[in-house]
Amino acid sequence: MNLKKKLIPVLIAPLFVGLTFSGQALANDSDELEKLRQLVQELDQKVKILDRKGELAEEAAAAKKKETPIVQAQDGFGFKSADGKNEIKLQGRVQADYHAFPGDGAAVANTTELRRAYLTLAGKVYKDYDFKVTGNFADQKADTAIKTTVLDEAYFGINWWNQAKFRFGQFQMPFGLEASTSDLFNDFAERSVTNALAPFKERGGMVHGNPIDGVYYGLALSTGRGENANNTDTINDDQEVVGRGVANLAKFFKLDNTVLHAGGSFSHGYISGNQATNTNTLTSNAFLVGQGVVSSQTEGRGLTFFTPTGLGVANSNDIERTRLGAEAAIAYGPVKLQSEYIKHNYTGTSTTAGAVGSFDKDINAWYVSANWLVTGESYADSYLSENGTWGRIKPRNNVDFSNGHYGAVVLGLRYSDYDASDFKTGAGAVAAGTPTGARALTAAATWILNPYTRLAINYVDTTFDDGAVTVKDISSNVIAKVSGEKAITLRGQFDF
Amino acid sequence: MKKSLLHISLLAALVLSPIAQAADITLLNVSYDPTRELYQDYNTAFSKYWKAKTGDNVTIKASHGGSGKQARAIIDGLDADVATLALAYDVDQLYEKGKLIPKDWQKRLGHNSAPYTSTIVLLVRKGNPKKIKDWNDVVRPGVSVITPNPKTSGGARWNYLAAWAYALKTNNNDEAKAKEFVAKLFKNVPVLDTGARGATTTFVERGIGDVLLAWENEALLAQKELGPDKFEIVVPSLSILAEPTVTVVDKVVDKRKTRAVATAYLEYLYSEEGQEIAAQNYYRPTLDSVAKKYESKFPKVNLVKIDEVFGGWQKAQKTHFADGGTFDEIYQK
Repeated sequence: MNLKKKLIPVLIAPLFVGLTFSGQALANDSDELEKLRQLVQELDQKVKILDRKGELAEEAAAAKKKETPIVQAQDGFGFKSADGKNEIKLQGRVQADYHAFPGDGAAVANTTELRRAYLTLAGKVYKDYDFKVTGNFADQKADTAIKTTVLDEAYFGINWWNQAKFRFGQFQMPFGLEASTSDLFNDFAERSVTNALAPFKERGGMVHGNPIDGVYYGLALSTGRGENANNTDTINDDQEVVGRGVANLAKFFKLDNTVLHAGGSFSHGYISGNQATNTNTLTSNAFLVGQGVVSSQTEGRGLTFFTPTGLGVANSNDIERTRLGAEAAIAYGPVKLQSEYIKHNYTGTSTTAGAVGSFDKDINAWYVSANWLVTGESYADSYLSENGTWGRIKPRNNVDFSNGHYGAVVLGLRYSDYDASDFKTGAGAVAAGTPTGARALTAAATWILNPYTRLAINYVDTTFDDGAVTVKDISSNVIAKVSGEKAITLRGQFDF
Repeated sequence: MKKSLLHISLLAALVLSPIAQAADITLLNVSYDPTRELYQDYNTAFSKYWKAKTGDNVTIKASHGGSGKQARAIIDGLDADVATLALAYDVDQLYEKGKLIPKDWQKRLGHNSAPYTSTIVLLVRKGNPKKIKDWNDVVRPGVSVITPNPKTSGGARWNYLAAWAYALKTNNNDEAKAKEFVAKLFKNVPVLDTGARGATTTFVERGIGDVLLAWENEALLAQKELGPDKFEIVVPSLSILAEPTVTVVDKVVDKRKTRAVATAYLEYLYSEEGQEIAAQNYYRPTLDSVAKKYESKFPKVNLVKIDEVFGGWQKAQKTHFADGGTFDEIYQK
């Protein structure tokens, strides 16, 4: 269009120059002058018309842009309508691990593992209705090394109000900070031992939202039976209540570059003597059913250190299960301190010989961790106020060797403690001489190549409490007992 | 006992206090292109009227564009409480395509739901350099004509039909000659805007063309805003009675619970004050007393009605403006 504007003087100037030089002659020839005047007017009109057509074409292009669906290639590949009210996207993640168990833990084989392979279809329609379906192609069948495909999440939401949104289906129960934070964004390869006590992805309904900026709550009713498990227990078919409430106090104090996260979680429900497990088979007194991972495996994904027996509750009686959690995190700039505590309580009446009568048993677990983004990114930038969790860390510069950019680096230390000493004796007691708890120290270094790619190395040193785990020593082929485990985990992670 | 009464009174006051509070209401009026000024004045007046009548605060938002485009936007989900469009056919589409209003919507308000009328005139540059006196001058070779696209603009469809009606009258109702006449007219159109306001911009601000086929109100407004020393209005020997129509969008007002205020908003257009505002914005009032008062403001024109010449909007739309209709044949040529 500018070019066209420039054309006006270019076209007109020679005419006027001509007029100037031959002014006297033209003055004597009014017809010629009139013709020239008309010519100038015609040219002027033509240029103006071209200009206007250009303007209208721009307007039409802008209007069309508002109606043309947008192809998106960040946080998944997909399409969304120009007004953003409708959207569909395909997301995925792959986590490939290598586990090495030197020293005492050599009873567990060094191995490569496809830790997670998720494919997600998510989206929304009419702005307020969203959905998500995720398949996990790397779920490990119990007691085998065979990977299979299971449904990880499948839910839809009605989001009329930010203060009260509704979700139905199978989804992550609102409990705990680590459990609620995506495995993609945790600072260590595996969540701590406390995670074994948090409810995982279960079937139910939830109301959740942000009553005010910086505050999140979630209140759910679930089967309490774990992932991909309906409640098939005809003796007790009550729903479990699960809830979480958190606040980022830095919002209220208007602190920049800071997160002051505090909150708590709870759940309460009843489990009958014959309890449906994740595989929908009835197992007597499997009271830890419904937990996200094998309840007592080490953070290095090696040995199982805590194997309680059944609580011996008669079919006609219930086990009352209460879970409580507290969580806190402080982040300022590139440094983050985080801690969680989870307590399980089981009460009921046992018929186990030698432990007949009422019982009241606890399992307590906690961790404290410290992380440092060596390359200076801010944790506050990755905090997600909408659900009080940590999100994606975006390096200041993605890896680009040719320009001297090396991504982001996170260093971390975590100490965790799992205490089930109430199960040393009495109802549900572990086998004599086997552990009722563990303590673990984890050191981690994570290289974030870009927001979607990470490489990590973790070293986990676990010490068992009150006993030892019986293993078969590979080198000597004899039964031995180990009081701890040392593990090195390497992870490559990619998501889109 | 006294304490109980006090408690009951306080409780009643608490319960009833929200009822006594003034409500804040918003309405969306989706209108056609040249009504910006009209509804700016009218919305202010109606807000005051409604506040005085009910105590409620009503804020009216307005959306303007080509009438056909606006109708499509409402059908596609734009939450318009009221539609005030350029012609009945566009409002009909809210029933035909969206079932957003009842079929007999036009019977709900006076004058077939057309609270004001207008017509089509010719706006020329000062001194009328191309000596344009009537429609037959507009089709002369070398005359540059500005009119918007009849596919998107209600005003453009009125322009087209006014020219067609003139050609029919001057050619003994010969449809072929009328088609030829209108084809010549569009041959003289160098650029098609999507709406009437855009065409006015093209003619007035961009300085393109010799004559603008315009709503009478738009031409009078342009003359008022820019001065009679720049433009002249030429009243053709025959034009068309343009009846912009209005309706409450039932599905939206029921969803938003705004039916009462939306209905009152449209009814107020027929009141003396509403009609005064329309007249002051150069729309022809339908209320006799106000029409008489502003009689001198509007030139006398021989006006034909769409029902009489074209058999109504449905038929006119199908024949002339539907895909593959006469306009497509003319403009492709």
